[in-house]
Amino acid sequence: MKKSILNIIGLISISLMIAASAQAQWKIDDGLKDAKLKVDYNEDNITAGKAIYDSRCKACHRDIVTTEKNDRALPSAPNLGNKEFQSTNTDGEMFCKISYGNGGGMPPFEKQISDVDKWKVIAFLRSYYPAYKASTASTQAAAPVNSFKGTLNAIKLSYDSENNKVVAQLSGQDGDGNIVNPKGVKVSIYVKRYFGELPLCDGEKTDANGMVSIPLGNLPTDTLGFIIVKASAANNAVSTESKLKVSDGYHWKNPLDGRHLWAVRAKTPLWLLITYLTVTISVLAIIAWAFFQLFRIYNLRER
Amino acid sequence: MSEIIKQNDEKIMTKITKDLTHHLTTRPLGFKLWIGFLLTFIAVAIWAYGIQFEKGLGVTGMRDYVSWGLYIASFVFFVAVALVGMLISATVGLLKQKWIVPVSRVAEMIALAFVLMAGVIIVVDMGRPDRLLNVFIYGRFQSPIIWDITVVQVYILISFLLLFLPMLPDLAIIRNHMKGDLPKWQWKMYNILSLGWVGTPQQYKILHSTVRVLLILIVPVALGIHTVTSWLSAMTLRAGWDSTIFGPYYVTGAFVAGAGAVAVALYFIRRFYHLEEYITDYHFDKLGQLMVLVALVYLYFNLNEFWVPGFKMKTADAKHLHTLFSLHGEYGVMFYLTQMFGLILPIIFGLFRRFRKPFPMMIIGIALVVGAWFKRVIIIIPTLIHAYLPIQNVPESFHEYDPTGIEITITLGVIAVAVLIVSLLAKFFPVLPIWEIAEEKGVDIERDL
Repeated sequence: MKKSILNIIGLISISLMIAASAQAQWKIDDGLKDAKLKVDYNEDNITAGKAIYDSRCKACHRDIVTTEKNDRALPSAPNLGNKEFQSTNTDGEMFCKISYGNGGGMPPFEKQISDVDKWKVIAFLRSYYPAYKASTASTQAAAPVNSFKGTLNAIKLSYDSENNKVVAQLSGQDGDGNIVNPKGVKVSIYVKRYFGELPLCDGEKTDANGMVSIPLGNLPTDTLGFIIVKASAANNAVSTESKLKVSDGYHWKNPLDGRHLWAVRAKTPLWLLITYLTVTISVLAIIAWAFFQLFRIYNLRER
Repeated sequence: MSEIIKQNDEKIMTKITKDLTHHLTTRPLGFKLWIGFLLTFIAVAIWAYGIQFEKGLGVTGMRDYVSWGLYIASFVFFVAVALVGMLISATVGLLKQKWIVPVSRVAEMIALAFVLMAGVIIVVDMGRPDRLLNVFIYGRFQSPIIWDITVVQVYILISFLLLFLPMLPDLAIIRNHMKGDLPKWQWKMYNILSLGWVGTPQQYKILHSTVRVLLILIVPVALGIHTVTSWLSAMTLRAGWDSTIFGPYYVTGAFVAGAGAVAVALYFIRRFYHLEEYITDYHFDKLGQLMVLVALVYLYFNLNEFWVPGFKMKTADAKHLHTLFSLHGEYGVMFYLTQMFGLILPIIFGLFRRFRKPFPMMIIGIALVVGAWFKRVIIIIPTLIHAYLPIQNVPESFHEYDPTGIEITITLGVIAVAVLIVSLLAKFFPVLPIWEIAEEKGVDIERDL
């Protein structure tokens, strides 16, 4: 029953989307048709674009994979890593599509995402298209993918209680075999939770001490004060998972505490207990009185 | 002048006493056969219970879905019939209706026997009766089950007192006048039970005031026992039970069942004890009118109970109603037969004076009582079959309920015990109140005892 309802809902939404995409109209501004990326095509902008993509686009477009053709059907939005899409759309066309949507499945983001951020998202999308050629001006500032040259040994997590920060400390060796604190390595840190992982940072670069410090904010912990943190650096070259004690423990209100109808007997609501006992004792008292009347009658017998 | 009255009084008193106590002295073959018949039933039921006790509730048809079967349906039935004590003695009695004088003791006997069996069948329904005490040790005051246990026990005590107290003067009359006519043990029993009653004004005063207090007390207690019994179901989130009118629905249904039971008992007592002079057509006529009244109220609650959810047809309610109202539903045929013979036809026949005679009233009474039992089955079981959420990974057979032979035998056995108790009480005790009837005929009982 439940399954068939889901099926029906699925069918309806798919047909709605198909109907919507049938009317879909992309609006492309003439001035932007041949426009090139208006931010630098470098690592920083790609990383920034990824963050925006993750929060705004990923719900429909999901993870991007480089393919020949779009490999996804409705209700999924297209895989934007497909070469067909990448090759037939200019940066400007992508910009317009993000801005105005198509009046159907793709909503407009003109106001929600700033123009600079839209270009950064496009930079991120283009990073999946090896044939992409950015304008010479914009590639000049492109940062090296990994500024640290050497081998990473380990990544260690700790909690800085003073500043309420999670600290990831990298260790490694440089090209000559000297032990160093690797600088400029991209680190991702996540907190484990029931469903999925909560990103604390994604691609944050280590400082001169080989460290990344991320403010933890006011995260709920388990009842003993622990959270489980996962960290990886340089595309999983090293990774770790640690249980960090970050608070005294999360104190939640147990619905079994206190006097409730659903609680154990010792926690009977007082009004109920008083009512029950008053009524029961009163009725039993009257019955006891009636039995005593039998005794009185017996005492009045002929002796 | 007063001498004449006194002689006259004595004459009436002697006749009443003789008529109303005659059955105490005889042991006709019919009675013995009847008791033997009931005992056979009970013996087979005890054997069946032995099997259930040894092997557990698996020998019944109850499974994960239907965990309340015939036993709990019968429990509700017993409580329902037991409510007649309150209906006749208290509600009608406190309204000073004279016609209930010969009826009230029969009603109290039925009430006591049936409420006792209500307690027994709960234990029968327990897979581990050895854990009965845990209910008292660990029971939660928040649970309707604890309220139910409390109120059933209180009702047993009050029913006993309401049967026993008004019988004291009668027991004294038997003790005083029938020593030669009775076996020794029987006379001794009356002697002890009469508590040395001599009928002084003071004793009568105590008797009257105590009975009056108990009659008032039994009204809320009786409403309580059946309302709480209904809450056992109504406080569970189930299609068919999820109803705010379940309390009055049960109470009025109980009145119908009780009125029927009294009509049947009165008919046989009148016939076998030759009490036509005391239980007359007038009493059956009045009882019939009362029966029609309570049945009409019950019909009104039936209308509410089925029409209101039937108008809205929420998914689960719709399924539930389909099992009852469709002839293809699992309980459709039973439902229509029960409503027809247990409610509609008795109302129609009861409207006509010619059917409010002893024999037709007995037939109507049997229809009401049997209908009442089936109605409890219809209230309890179909609801359990259609849970809001299916129980996972259970065999297909768990979705249905087929009571086993052992279960049916035990249920019939417990019903037989109730009937046996009523039969024995009616045989060994004055079934009509001698002193009240004498008082009604103008005898000064305080002097003539």
